[in-house]
Order: sequence, then C-alpha cells, then structure tokens
Amino acid sequence: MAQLGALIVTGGMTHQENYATGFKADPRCRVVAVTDEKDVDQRRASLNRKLAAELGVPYIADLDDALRQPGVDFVSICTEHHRQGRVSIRCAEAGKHLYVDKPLAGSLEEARQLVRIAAERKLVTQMFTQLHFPYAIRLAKLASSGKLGELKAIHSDLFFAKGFTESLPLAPRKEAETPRSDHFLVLDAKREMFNIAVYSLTLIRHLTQRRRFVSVRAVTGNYFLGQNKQRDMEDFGALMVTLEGGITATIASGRTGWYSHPGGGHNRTRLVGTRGSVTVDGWATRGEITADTAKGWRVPEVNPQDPMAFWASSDQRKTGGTEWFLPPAPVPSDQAVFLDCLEGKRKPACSIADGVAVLETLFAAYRSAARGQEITLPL
Amino acid sequence: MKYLAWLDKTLAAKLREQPIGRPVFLRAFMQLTADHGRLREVADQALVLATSWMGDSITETVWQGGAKEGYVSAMVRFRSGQTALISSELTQGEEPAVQLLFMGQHGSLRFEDVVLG
Repeated sequence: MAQLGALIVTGGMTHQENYATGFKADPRCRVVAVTDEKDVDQRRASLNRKLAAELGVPYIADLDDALRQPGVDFVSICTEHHRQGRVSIRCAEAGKHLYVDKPLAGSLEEARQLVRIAAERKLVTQMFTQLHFPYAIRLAKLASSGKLGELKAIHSDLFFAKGFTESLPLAPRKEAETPRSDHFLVLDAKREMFNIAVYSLTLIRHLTQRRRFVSVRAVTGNYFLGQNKQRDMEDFGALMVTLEGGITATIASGRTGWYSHPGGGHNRTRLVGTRGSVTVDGWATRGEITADTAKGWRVPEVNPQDPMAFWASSDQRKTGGTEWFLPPAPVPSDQAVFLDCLEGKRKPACSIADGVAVLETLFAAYRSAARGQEITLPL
Repeated sequence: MKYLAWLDKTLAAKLREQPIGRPVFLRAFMQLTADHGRLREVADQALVLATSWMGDSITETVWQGGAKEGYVSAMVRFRSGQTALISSELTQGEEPAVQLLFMGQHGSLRFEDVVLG
C-alpha cells in the first residue's frame, strides 16, 4: 500500500513536536513538508523551519502552495487557537483529511463551519485527545464492562505539574464571558481550563457513548502562576456538567506547578455506577526505586523561549525521582489511530464534530464562570 | 462520627504547618454510608470539614445528584475564591473510605484511608 502523505502545519514550540514525530515514526506515513500561513511572524517561521530541518523535509512558506503539492493526503494542524479555525477550513476546502490539535479552534462559528465543510467533502477528521492513552483505554473498558452497573457520575481531575508557583493573593476571579480568540495562549501563559479541561470533556463524552452535554456550571481561578494572573488567563477551572440521560460529571483542571506532583501531574478519574465505584490514577507510580543513593527529585532548567515548558522540547522529565522512567505501555499512538481511520480500519474516537461539542461546552463554561450561573446547551 | 472528628483534627494540624502553602482546591470523595438517606448528611459534614481545612467561609454551593441517584456532589466556592468538589457516595458493599486531594499554592497533599469501626 502507498504511504499516506502528511503535510505538517506549524513547527517547533507547539504540540506538533509530538504529532509530526508520531507520524514520521509510522511506516504507513510519509511527511511531505512543513508549512504555515505566509504572513506568520519571524519567530514562528523560524520555529517552523527548525522542525522541518529536524524532520528532514522542506519548509514551504505558503500554506496554499503546500496544499497544492502532490502526494498530500492529510494535514496535521497545530497553530495558535485564533488561527486554527481558518487554517483548518482552508485545508478542508482543499479536500485534505484533518488531524487537528485540541481544542478545535478559538471561535465556535469557525469550528461549526469546519464541521460542515468536512462533512460535505467526506473527510476523515480527528482532534488530538488522551483517549488512546492507557488510562483512558482502561476507563473505557471499565465503563462498558457492566461491573459498575449503570454509570451515574464521572469525576475527573487533571492537573499539569509544570511552572513555578507563587503565593498569589487570593480573590475570586472575574472571568470574561467570551474569551478573545487570540487570548488563549502566549509565550508564558495559557488559558488552562481551555487547554486542560478539554481532555476531561472528551473523555467524559467518550465514556458515555457521545452523550450530549446539556448544562454546565463553572468557576475559574488564579491560584498558582503569576504569569497567568498577569496575563488575565485562568490557571484553574472547575466544572459541573450534566449530560443527556442525567449522567453528571465534575472536572477540576489546571497548571499547578512543578512541585505539585513528582511526575506529570495528578490525573485521576472516578466512575460512579449503580453497583460500584472505581478510581483510575492515570499517572500512578508503576515502578519505584528507593535507595541510599536517592537525592530527591529535581525539576528541569527553565527554557527562556518556553518558560512554562508547554512544549515537548522544553518538557524534560524531572530527575532523581523514586519512579524511574518507564516507557509508555505499548498501545498505538493517537497519530497511529488516525492512520488506522484513514485506512478505514476504525472510526475516530474524537472527530472534529466531537471537538465542536466539547468546544461549545468550554465556551459555556466561561460564560457560566462570568455570570455565576448554570448555562444550558446548545449555546 | 469519631472518624470525621479525627480526620478534621489530623488534616487541619498538617495543613496549619503549610506543607503545600495555602490550600486553594480540595477534591473529596466520602464513601461512608450504605444508606441513600444519609448521603446528604455525609456531604454536609464534609462541607464543614472543608471549611475548617480551607480556612475560609463558603459563599456558594451547587449540588448534583441526590438520594435516588446514589450519590451527592457539591461544587463549593469559598470567600477568597478557593474551590472544592465534594462527593458523598454509597459504600455498595465495600469498606467505607475517604479520598482527599488538596492542591496548594506550593504543592499538593493526598490522603486516602479506609475507615475502620
């Protein structure tokens, strides 16, 4: 079978560092080029060129030119959120299958337009999620096993243990009803409910066989990171959601500082059923060494170009921990699953239509946090 | 319940030492009763504990679930903006148990216990 041609949109200091390398590692796939919109700033162009060089492929500075290259079957898109909707629409209009970073876009209107175009062109689409991570696979098996009886509630805590925290003065956060589409990510801060709760919402949707979210109540906070507070971006979000059929869920998400967890961060999901409950710890220690050589763990050096270690190239593992580095369990990567979908072997667990449902819930959560009241869906 | 008094005192003493800085978020799962009718009572007791541990008064509580559903969950906001998510669940034949996770401004504190007696 001919290899599938991948066009990579954006380069270093984005999640493309993971996605593009995931595609390159799969023998079913051939990376054609790295590209971006032709008017990106110098920093972005330089980071794009860097990833192209690392992948050993050309950098094509104009997205439209790149989309006309022969042999491009799909596009892996990982721009800043305010560009992601329009870039994805251009790629969909060019008839390319789509692998898109999460959350789907900075605008619900663009995201809905994208879904319409992709449906018209019968494109295979997938938004990156953690649904193919071992912990989520285990949760899906538990939820569908019947052992817990009927699923009644899901509780998800997902925190990223990165960044240096401060003793910030506490005060209730005043949230924006609709965050500006260009106000989700800067060099040293992200809107963390947007960036992290998206994983919990996609997981909850997946575990409930795509039940519709019908209401959300949310609060946001600035608890941990001075940079986020300075940029008026929340570093914490808590949500209470209700799904079709009465299943409920609670979510806590945030970036809680390097020292809040010896690994990647607290990641626990609890399933509550009519016959039992279970908690799955996604980042539980699987192997431990204690010895008189132990010195306690240390956090990585700060990279001034990525001070919060948002991206893989800066996110070096903490060293000296009692848990030694264990490779991930041998399950297919999210990129490999997308290639399976392109080959017709399975359906995407999170298509861009699923991504829109989650994006809508996130926007409803901001509205809820701003108004201090429950918001019903659809918006 | 003697256990809850012990839990309150033990956690409050530890948090006063500020090992994690100021606690700003609490997740609590209280699986302490087999009786649907007592779920809310346990949740209310947990809210009192949360007030003690977070060192602040509650300004808002939003509830989910109920006796019929077999669980009660609360999203709680405190005066200075801290948050808690607290759930009271049925034991369903298992040992009574408590799971707590405090996120503080300088770390986290995790407590898991099976309740004897």
